[in-house]
Amino acid sequence: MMAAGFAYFRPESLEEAIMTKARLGDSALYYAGGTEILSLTRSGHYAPTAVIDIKYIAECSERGAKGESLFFGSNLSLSELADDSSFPLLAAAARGVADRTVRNRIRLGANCAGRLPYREALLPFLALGAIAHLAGPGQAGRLERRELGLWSLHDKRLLLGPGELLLGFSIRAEEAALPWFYERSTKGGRVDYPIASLCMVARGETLSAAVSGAFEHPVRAEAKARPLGLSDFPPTRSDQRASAAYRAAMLDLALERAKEALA
Amino acid sequence: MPRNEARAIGLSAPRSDGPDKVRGRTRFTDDERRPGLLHALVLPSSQAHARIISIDTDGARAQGGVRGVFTGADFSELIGLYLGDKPPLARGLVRHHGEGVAAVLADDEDAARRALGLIRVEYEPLPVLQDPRSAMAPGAPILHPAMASYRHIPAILPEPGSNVAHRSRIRKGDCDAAMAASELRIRGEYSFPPGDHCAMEPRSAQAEILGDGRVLIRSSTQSPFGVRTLMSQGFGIPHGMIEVSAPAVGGGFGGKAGIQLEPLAYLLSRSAGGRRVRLSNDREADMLGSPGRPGIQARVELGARTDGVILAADIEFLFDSGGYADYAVNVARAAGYACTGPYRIPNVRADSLCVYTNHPFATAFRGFGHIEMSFCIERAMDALAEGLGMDPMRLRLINAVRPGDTTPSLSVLEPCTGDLPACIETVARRIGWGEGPGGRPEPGAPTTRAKGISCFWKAPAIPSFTDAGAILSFNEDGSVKLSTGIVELGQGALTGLGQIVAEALGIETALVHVNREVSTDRSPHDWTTAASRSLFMAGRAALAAVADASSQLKAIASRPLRCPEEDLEVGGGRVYLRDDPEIGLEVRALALGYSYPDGSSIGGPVIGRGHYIARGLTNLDPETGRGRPGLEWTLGAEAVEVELELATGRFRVLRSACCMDVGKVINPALARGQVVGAMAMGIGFTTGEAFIFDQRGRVANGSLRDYKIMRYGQQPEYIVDFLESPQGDGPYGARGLGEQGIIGMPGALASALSRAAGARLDSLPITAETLWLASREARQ
Repeated sequence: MMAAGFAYFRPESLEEAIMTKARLGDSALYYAGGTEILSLTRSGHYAPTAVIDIKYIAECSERGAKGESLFFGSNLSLSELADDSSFPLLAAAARGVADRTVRNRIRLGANCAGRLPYREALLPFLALGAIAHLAGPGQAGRLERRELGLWSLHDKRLLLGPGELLLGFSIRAEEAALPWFYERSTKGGRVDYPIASLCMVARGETLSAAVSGAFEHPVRAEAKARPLGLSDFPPTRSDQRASAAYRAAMLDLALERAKEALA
Repeated sequence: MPRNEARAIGLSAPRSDGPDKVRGRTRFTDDERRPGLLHALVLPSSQAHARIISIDTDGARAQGGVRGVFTGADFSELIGLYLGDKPPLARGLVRHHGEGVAAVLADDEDAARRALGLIRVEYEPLPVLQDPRSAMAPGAPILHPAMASYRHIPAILPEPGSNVAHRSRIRKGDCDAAMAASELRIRGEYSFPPGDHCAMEPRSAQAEILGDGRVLIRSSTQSPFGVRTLMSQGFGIPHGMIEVSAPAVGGGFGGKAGIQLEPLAYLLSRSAGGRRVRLSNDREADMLGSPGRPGIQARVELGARTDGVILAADIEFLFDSGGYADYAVNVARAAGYACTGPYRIPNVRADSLCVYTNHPFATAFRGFGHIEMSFCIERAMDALAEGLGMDPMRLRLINAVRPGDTTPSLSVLEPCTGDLPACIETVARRIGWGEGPGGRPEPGAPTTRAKGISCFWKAPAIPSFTDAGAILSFNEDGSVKLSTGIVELGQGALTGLGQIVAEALGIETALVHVNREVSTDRSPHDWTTAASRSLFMAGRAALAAVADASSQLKAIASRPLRCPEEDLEVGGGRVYLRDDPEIGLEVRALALGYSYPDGSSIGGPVIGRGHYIARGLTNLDPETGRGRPGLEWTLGAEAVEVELELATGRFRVLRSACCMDVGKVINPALARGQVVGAMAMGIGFTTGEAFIFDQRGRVANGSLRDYKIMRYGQQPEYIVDFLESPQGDGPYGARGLGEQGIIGMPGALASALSRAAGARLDSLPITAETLWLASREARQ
């Protein structure tokens, strides 16, 4: 049961969505699968006055080759990504989140731009330095699009402008086939937030990794002509799921296995 | 006509409640929403121990749709079944995180929720008691200074001026002398934090007061008659003026037997002119505001000869009951009289205490004191085996109880008690005990496997006057209706009772219709659907009702058949001559009265009455614990095999075996279901299901987002065997089995994991991180 009712908007075009959000301001949230907004509203952590459902915007549901690129729309569910063989690292990372029933609801964009600190579907894109496609209300009150590399757009979280919506990510088509490594550990059962989730790709001599769960937010690291180690990352955190020492040990093991796998 | 009697016992009759449950069509308490219903919500305390300085309800009262806002000051009563220690809403003092401090009554849930958010509570935090030992230390804050004035039943022994809500003493033989004479003594300390039952259905209650003062309660309760007594005692309402009805319950596990939402729902209805009030927990309120299971801190010392024979046990159990005692006082009592586990130990000293702390309050949990006790004893048994250099399985075989032995309360185990040595041998064979690596990892191997074994016993922890009633009546087609006070909690009791009646009448189980909803106005009295006693006691009552109905049928049939009643038999839907079965009458032609060919009629509806009351139970002596508290002891053994990944501490339970002597299996599929479910719950208990507290005593994992229960993918292979040494007084020789499968799991699993990690793991929960730390330290 929600603390209070909220207005529900179901725009059918991108422009309508962006303008609705611009009109309603900060207390309105873009809404996709609802797993985070509904459960955290129920527990009192969120109190939106309105939600703007973006599931019916065709542009956000696109996927596949666009010229030299592969595009993944923010409306794609993690189940769809888990079943998609075109980007195996993304499929693996998506499959790690929650369980199948919940993955049917969780959308790529919300998983990457929500407030929970894990954002595991972001990790493959962050490791690769994918392009984020954004749309927001421009200065002139008209829809404005941006395309930005994730390495500049991401600092602890995605640096979205006011009212800006994530449309999706694109990577260069050949990058989907780079050698990759993925490993995730939890406190106990598989269906839990990660204490360390690691995505790594090898681009020639360069290793690029993104990690979440071990820190307060996703962290990216890169090394040339040497393996990535614990010292490439900030200190791990401690909470009810795991101590900093155990998180560090699990990340260390994952990095060790990544080294062997990508050698 | 040949006798054609259907057999029912020993067949896996499908559950009568199954089809609607799997279709999601069963209507639980909260599924009933009548027009005009008022909705209540409770504001939980954000503090674990605090003085309430002020509660500002003005904003909440001003909300549209709000009918009233209430605090502890509005209600002066104290509630509690065994010990009346709990105000319906906190009064001046908060004793645990999540305790209700205010309640809102509104026209709809939305308005209530909005109003709840406008209540402002000012707290003055007080020092927090985080475990029983600290709560018993000199100078600890006394959580219930008025304890001396609390109403309690004679079996509960509170110690006013302390935080001890109950102390059971067991004194058997001469513990000190036997300890001194022992060639080996081991001593260990064992603990785990409190947790929650996590029944699928959160608790829910509705209350209404009719114009003539009659009180109607509808509740997700295991104990409709217990709720009636609680209401009568707490509020001075005559029993006959209260009707409690209990529809299907979505899992209880003991959590729905004690204090729930009914008293507050009643008080709110009373404040609203008797209008019907709905008070339902969401998951978080169910975990923190309503009772969970107790934690424990324990000390066990065992003394033995070098040949493995145990001479003495010196035991202290400190149950963490949280802010209120509820059923935990009796949990501590049960753990006391069963304190040694199923081992013949001639000299025992045990103190089992129920201690107040500032944790969420605790009540009965599956196993009722025995799962807590068993973990400590089974870990001590493994430590003793290690000390003796003896196989843990052999140590258990040597000391296993046998008929004629006495329990810690000096009650003699009857000749028809089950066969524990055979249970031990069966699980050992099924798990491959003694085969395979057995813990010691091979150098360089990434994983290791290990096994653990345990024994358990449990008798129903019930008052000496525990009763069950049954009423049997007939339909026009000769099918029968059985009415009992047993609540269907998902355990399948109604199906089992139907089979017992079907067997006794020699008819198909499908022809026995057991009442689905219990009402204290319409159902015969029954103590409580708990303690794994339903099939046994209501089964006995049902058999008595069948016998009563059969004699009435014979009396009617004897007249048209012109024969003595004693020459008649009832079976297969007929009443017939024993020596000439072809001569007889259909039950359906008799049960509502018999009509002669000329139309004149005799008899009338046959109504069979049956009752049962626990036989020969006595109270326990307060100084020595001497007495007979247990109706029938179900004995069994369990064993598990685990695989541990040494580098990460991650593990899997590969196989889990249980062998239990149940006397007689009434329904094999249901019996296996109960045991498998209990074993799964035991794995969760051991490896994760427990509250995590912050330094201020607040629960950090009070939602299912953070409090993880087992999932299908984590289940091991389950191996379940039953032995059938008949229980002399059980229905068809059966004894209780609903809880028992959980009891030995924490001990067996902790022992297996300890062996795999090469460390002693005597505190729960055991997580991957625990094992990683332990195996790393063991290797260094």
